[in-house]
Amino acid sequence: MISKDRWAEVYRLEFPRVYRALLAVLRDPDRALDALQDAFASGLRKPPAEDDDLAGWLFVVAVRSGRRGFGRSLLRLDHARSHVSKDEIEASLDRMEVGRLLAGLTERQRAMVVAQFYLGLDHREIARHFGVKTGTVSATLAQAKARMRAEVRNAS
Amino acid sequence: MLPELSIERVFQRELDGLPVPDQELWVPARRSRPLGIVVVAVVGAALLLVLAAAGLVRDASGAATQPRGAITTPTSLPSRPTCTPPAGANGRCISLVPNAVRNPAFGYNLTIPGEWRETQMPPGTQPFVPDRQGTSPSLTGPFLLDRHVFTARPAQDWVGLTTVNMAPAWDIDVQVWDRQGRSAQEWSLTFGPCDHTRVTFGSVGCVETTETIRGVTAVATTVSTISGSEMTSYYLERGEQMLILRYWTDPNVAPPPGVTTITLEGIVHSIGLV
Repeated sequence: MISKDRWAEVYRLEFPRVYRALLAVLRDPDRALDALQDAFASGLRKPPAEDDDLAGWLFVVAVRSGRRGFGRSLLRLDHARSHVSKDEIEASLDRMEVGRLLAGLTERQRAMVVAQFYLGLDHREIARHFGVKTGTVSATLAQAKARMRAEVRNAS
Repeated sequence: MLPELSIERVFQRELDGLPVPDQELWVPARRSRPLGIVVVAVVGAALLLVLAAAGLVRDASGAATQPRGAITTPTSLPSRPTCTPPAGANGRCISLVPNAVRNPAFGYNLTIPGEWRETQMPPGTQPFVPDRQGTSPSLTGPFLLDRHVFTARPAQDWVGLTTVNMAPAWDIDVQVWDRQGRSAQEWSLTFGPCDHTRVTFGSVGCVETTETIRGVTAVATTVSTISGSEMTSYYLERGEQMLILRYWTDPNVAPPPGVTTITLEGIVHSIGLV
């Protein structure tokens, strides 16, 4: 089990990457911030058993926390709201090719696509973190990629 | 187009352009450093705006008359997950800002959520000490130097919940003892609930760890009982004193709304020695 100091260090190092990944999935800066803080607190309370791929752990726990809904965060800092609005983030994502493609996916598909292509997790790691079978990950990603390809075809 | 082979690079390039909040909003709190002055100023200004807007601030330290020499930065503390808008608030929910608890006499600060308050243990109660009846060393009387109990329960709910020596489940009990030359490790083993030779309240497991809280080494123990309750204690040495932060959770005792183990851990980890 990793120490709490190590956990705090991982959080500091990985926050930007995981936060951006959450923005791409949740499309809401405050939800992303709350979810990531909740994930950090969860890790502080019960650190992950293994000291590998902690960014993936943070990401998945935060995604789950984000699904509980905005406003239900256990660790929300009321004075520490994100400096950009949800509309601004959505506008940024819509200007990006990746953002437009992700917008056509379900939140679960988005989470797995971002985990693979942005955080660099392989199917086995995604399956372990999400608590599903590798086959489920493969099927979900295949459907997501097919939908993204269709979106690219339609756009062109 | 989004070629398969370069998709990772496209994700990297585009998503790395998304903005990230200022670091002071998400970096875990550390012992103050020179750079902290800027952080404190920024957060302090934001806090003042919040206070001015909400008009809600309380000092639960019991030391409201103490001169305020410095602004303290509230640490990451839980707020209630739900909220009922107060009358006259135009349907808006107002979340109380965290309270800075200062204990200059014994040199520590603590931050508690806005909904929490300090409460007084009934006269005659003493902190939980397994070997209370032991002969040496005495752990009552002059060796207990200070004690404060914090709760999220309103007064009418809190009355009747205390036992002879323990604060109710889901409260925070902060004690300062004359450490009598013993280290935090020795306190946790000799006097705390992890003393297997003396614990008699049905303990089924004790986990002891050492961790660093805001730069200070603390010994933490958690004792599980058959009933499912857990008592967690943090021992911090401070000169000739021993600072103990303790709480217990009990599945058979309903926590106040919004209070979880994360809340309690958040309070404990806001401790700062000054």
